[in-house]
Amino acid sequence: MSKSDLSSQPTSDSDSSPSSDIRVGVYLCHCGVNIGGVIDMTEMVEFAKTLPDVVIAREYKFYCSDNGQAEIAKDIRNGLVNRVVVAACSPRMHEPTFRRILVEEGLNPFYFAQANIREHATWVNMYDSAGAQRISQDHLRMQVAKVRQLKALEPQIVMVRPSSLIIGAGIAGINTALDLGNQGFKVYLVEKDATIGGHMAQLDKTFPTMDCSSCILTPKMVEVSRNPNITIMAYSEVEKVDGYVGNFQVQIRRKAHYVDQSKCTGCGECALHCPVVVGNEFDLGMSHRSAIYIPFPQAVPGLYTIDMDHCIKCGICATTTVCEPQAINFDEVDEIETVEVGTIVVATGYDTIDVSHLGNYGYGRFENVVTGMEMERNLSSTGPNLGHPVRPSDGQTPHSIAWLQCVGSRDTREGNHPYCSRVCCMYAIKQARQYKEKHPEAECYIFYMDIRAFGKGYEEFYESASHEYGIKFMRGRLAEIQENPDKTLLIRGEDTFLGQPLALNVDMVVLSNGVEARADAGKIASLVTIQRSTDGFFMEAHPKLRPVDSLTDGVYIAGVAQGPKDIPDVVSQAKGAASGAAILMAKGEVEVEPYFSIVQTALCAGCRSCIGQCPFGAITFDSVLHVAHINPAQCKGCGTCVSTCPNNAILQNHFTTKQLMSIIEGVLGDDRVW
Amino acid sequence: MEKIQPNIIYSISNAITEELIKDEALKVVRACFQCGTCTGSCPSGRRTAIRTRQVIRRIALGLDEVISSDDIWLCSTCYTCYERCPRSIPVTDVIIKLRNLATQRGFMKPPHRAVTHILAKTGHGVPLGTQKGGEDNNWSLLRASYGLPNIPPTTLSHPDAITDIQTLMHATGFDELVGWTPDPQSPAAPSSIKSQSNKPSSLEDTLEKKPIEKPAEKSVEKAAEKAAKKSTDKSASKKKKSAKKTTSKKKKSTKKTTSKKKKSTKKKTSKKKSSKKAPADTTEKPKRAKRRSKKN
Repeated sequence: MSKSDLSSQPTSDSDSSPSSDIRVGVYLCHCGVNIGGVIDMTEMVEFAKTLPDVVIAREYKFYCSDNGQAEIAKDIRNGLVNRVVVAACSPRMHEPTFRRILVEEGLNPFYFAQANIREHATWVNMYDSAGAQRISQDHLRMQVAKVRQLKALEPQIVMVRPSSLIIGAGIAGINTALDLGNQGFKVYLVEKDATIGGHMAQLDKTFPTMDCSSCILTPKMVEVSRNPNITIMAYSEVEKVDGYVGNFQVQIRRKAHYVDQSKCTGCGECALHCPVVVGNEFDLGMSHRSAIYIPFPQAVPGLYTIDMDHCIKCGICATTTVCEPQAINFDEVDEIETVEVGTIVVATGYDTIDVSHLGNYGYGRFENVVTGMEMERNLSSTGPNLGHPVRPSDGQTPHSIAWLQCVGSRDTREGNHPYCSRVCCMYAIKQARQYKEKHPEAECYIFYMDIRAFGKGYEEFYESASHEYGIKFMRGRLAEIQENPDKTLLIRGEDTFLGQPLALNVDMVVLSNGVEARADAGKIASLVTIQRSTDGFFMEAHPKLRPVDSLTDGVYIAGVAQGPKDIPDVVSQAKGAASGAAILMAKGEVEVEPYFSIVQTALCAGCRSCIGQCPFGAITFDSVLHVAHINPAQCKGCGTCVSTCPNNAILQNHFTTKQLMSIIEGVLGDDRVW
Repeated sequence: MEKIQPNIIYSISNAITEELIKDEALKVVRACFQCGTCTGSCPSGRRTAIRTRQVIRRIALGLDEVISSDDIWLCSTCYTCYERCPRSIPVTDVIIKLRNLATQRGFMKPPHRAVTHILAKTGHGVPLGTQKGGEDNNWSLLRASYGLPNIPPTTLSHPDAITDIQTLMHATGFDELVGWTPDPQSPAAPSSIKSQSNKPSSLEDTLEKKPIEKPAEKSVEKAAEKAAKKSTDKSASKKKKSAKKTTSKKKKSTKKTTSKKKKSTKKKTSKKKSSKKAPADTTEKPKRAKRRSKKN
């Protein structure tokens, strides 16, 4: 691990008064009309020249362009400036761009400050030029004051372990694991259920090609299990994540199977003898399983697990006549396993939206109202009805089925899911088509608000559903469902094309419910310290340009955990996440910004107030010197400890008290005394 | 032939919509995605012509005609649509607000107008039967059985308060809006109003003495509707003219309406000058004219 020499970092604030050799160059970017169209740039240039130590002030249309960058580079090369302030957009986008210029011209990259006069001034005050001008001047004054105080810092290099943790083994996790494993990286694939495969294993067919879902998924599952680089940790959950990019220590709870996984052969004899009958979660409770079970026949690993919530401990399965290898072990306990990985990919998937709270649709009250996933299992040849959907009330074949779209999704009132779940339109059309194939005489209605057939081949699929199969598309969201005495359903709504209210009797209703973030998404987010967006899904670093990165270095997001998407999109994203993680691991080291905090040991009283405050566990107590110690690689530079320390003993690189105070003095102006 | 109406949207005025969304809570009406849950939920819509979704559509689009339509009066304010709207639009509140805006502009149904007249006369929107002097009616006996005074402490016990109500109505201009004028013989009528309404004007006098009844109200209604139609036509013609894309035929018709419109405005303004207090069927005309002249 090649770490920067800490002694070269500033350890005191005392010697940071601006020396006479500071030459600040201010570069004012028009950003097209974003800034230049609102404020007077010539006046800004004149203003910049009045600021202390500013030797050059220039304006240009786009400083992020090659020509703009060249202008800054030229000034540095000619020795005109040794500090750079760019007044432009948010530093989130272009700070690295401008820092690179400084590096290329032999200047320390931390002698740079960016005044965000676009987002903070001109965009928010588009119609108030004078106001925007004043705010821009404040920002510029602050950044010039700051840049005069900045210290040269060296970026830190940390090692990246060539191993990856993947949380969730659905289609996203499986693809990420395969891509990383095939590149030679060690992969730990953690799955909380007894089998990998996720939701895709429950689907019957996939739109628009009508491929059998399990036929295309199970080969991948087998491939994962055969790959020597991939360790499947099924029936396990991540307990704790420590460390930082490149060096994570992960504790994984391996839940007790009560069946010795090394001895079990998966013969299934135990399940035949088990007297317990419970609903099978894989079929959403519509079929049954025993207390010792595998979720479905193609499960990987295909080894048995005892469900201790339902096991009556009769011991029949443990007898040698039933289990010859004697794999049953009622005394097994959960084990905690620790693995060390360089990167983490979160692919925890989704929950389907619970629709039982939608009183007007009567799910849970009316037997013949089912959800999309229940219909999917009913249509599946491995499902409870062997692929022949029946009315739950009487087991008869329904003659008319209505699918209701946007149940739960696109609804700000019930449960607050304002987003589109993106898969329901297509799966409803697919299910209706499948039913029509089996029962061409049946009436299939799809009640929709908008059909979102956006993928490759989807619109054609939608067209043929009405054209070839005669599925009736009804524009209008259903208002309510009532149950008739014979358990058929009266549905009420409006045909918005005709502008007429309608009431129809149908045999069965399928609520095409959408997807939502996992109920435990908050727990996962805090485990790996990633953020969630307002819809509850994990937040990507940039919605357009960094869709698989999280804001935590070394942690990537794949699949529906990031937001609703269909299988092709999930696979693409999984491959993207694998590639992101592989870049770090292939390089073997990563540069991190040296914004960590430093304890000035001479000032530290050893009160330990900071230790409990650190959200990243980066501070330890040195019992020999009786002072706090901050691990620079673990420190994220949040500054919490700095403000906590009663002795002002902690300094944060690039955000020292002196630097922050100079910014405040800058914004208050020279004539202000406070 | 009557059924054939011009069904093309010539212009989008936004005037009513802008007025409506001044209430921040109703602004979300613009987010309507026309799913039809409201219409499907509407118990009134199963029997009447109200299409809630289309009312909201007209508002979202900015068609002022919405306030002159019957639909807004067919809502029973049961709040079912309000509770089910997936975009959380307070549909019922929107309709109630639309009714306010419609009433302010003189669009109201004869029964509503009649109720306000009853209110002005009796102090009750739904007056209690007082054939037996308010002493031994069923309701008064019922009240007595609960230990309440036989006559409630409303205008029934305080007939003077009717004058207060009428004064309030007059002060707020509500009487003018609903076309109510006090009966000069009535002792309850406030003196100020009485003296005004006693001004000699043959036509107005005859109308004044007429009991408030349907035909008179109908004419008011029609006049108001006509005016509204004209105003929309007019704005249409204005926009069309500026766009200069209309066919000659259309131009002709729009010009016609404009000239007609001007005439009528003049007429109304002059009328307004002649009499400050107008009787039932002409009441809103001066007001409307005033509004329009301001606009022009």
